[in-house]
Amino acid sequence: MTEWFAMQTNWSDDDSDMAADEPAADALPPGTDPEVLLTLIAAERERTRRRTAPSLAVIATAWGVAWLLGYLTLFLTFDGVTAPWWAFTVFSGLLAVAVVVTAVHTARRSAGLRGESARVGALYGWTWIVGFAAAALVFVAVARLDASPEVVAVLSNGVSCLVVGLVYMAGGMLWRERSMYLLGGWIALAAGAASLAGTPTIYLVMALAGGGGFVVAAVLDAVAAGRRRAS
Amino acid sequence: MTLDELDPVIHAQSRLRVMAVLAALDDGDRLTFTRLQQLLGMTAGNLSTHLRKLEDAQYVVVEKTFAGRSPVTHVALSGRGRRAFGTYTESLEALLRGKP
Repeated sequence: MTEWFAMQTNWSDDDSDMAADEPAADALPPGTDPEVLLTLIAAERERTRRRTAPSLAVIATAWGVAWLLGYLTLFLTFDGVTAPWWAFTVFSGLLAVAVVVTAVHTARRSAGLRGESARVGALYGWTWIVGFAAAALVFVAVARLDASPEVVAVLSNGVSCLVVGLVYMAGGMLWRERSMYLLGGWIALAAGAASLAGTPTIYLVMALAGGGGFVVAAVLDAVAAGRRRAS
Repeated sequence: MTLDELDPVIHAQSRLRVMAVLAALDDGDRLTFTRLQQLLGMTAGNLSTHLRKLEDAQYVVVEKTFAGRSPVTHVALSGRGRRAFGTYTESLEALLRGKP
């Protein structure tokens, strides 16, 4: 019995050349234990979910590393008024890498999946784009009002992170992922608190609490996934 | 209830796996044939054979469309298939409980 189950969990292509009608290799051994069958069904379900849903561990790692390195760069190169242009370029570049990692990972996991989930996923993607487009308009408006570099820095960071936090919380509600919801809440609150510190401390708080928050969420998610796989 | 009385359409190892994978998707979701094949690690011919049997029993809906010029086949569990799979797993659970 355990041998039969081991064969099933190997998912080999052994039965590839089977005949068109009920192949002998496909018949379940007589007296197959219901427990073995239920375990097989549960394993297949868990495996399918894992392979078709994006992993928070992967996405949060990409964003955690980008925020840690990016915000630390801004903090360490701050010259008293602002960070140099190249530091902002490094910061943007790291965020762009995280965007690409997220997009490629999500596309791979959801490849070939159509219907309601795909539609919700697409709407979720648009939520990010609309959120940041609206935020960008606010930043342009504030810049035109001759705001000081510190006001622009605090406002742009605070509003952007509020968008990130709330969209994560929405995702947590959509997919009933508690860790995603909590991560979003943490990001929003951490960014709000960081704003109170002003420049350049805001960047240090964002690196440690924001980037660190993503990394902690990624580790917890990886541990939980490992535990699910083992059970 | 004995093992022999279980739904014979589902009670075969390949079809059981096909049903388990499709049942793991959310209601209203479908998979392309290619992705289903990749998730199961089956050959196209083998998967087609089993899908035909599941389709004959109206447990799955197989839909052929076009993405641009290339044909794409989508596979989804039907409402009837989802119910049959639920009954199948419930029967297994009942058999398990009934064991001495």
